Amino acid sequence: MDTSASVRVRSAPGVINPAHRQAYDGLAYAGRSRAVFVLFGVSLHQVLTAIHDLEMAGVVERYAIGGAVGATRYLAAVSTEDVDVFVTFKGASGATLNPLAPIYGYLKPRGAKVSEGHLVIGGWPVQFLPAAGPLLEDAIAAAVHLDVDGVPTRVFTAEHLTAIALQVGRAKDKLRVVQMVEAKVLDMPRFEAILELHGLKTRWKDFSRALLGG
Amino acid sequence: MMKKFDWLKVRRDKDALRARNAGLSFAEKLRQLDRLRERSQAMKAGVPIDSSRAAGRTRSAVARRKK
Repeated sequence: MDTSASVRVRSAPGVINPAHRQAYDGLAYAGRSRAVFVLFGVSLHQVLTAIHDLEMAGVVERYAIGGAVGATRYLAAVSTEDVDVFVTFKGASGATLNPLAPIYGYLKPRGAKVSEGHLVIGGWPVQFLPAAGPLLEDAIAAAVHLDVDGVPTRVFTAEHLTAIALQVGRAKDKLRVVQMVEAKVLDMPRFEAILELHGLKTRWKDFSRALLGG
Repeated sequence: MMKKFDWLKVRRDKDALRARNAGLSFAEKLRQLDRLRERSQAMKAGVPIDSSRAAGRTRSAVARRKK
């Protein structure tokens, strides 16, 4: 069996092709690490391309990546279950009972699968979330523009990600706030201005007293 | 005699890893996320993975250990 670095096997996202699995099992352990084996076809690049296309086609007005994938811009990469994409819509299309219908309608014919409330793109469950509330709208408007291997994309700023985590307040969000502070990636005057604007100052004071030692 | 566990080495390795990660671009970090997801999918599906690489060792470190 060829175990050279040129070996490339790709299955459909989320599905292991039995022939690929057989080929994989046939390799020695060292061969497995040398060969480029993509058993599940996992690719965030495909996700970025799909959401950029959504904006280009006018399905959404603007988008930005948040959650753990967004936080990866500022922190070390940690395993996550899904990709959170926050979107705004043009005109009144966001105010309908099912605002995400146009997104599903655009992406499903292009190969995205629906699974447990997510759209699976490039092997990643992607959750589209309409920007509900002034903080999320503000975060999308202020998002950072990036070029990821030729794909233009937008990610929340560290200050907005932290303010959102503080507002949501689940255990994993609190951990993210601590990580952002410890990584020293926050522009504190800007962060405090966001907290002030969105009424989160008291929560921040309580949080920093309890978990950051004042 | 049992080898003494070197906590200082663990600390140094952790600091080195953190410094390496800090220098990575967003695109590289996204590729790391892809690999992490692939690995977790492989484990869920019962596909055996290369444990040396799973432990985060570089290919050259794996080769050194095999000598």
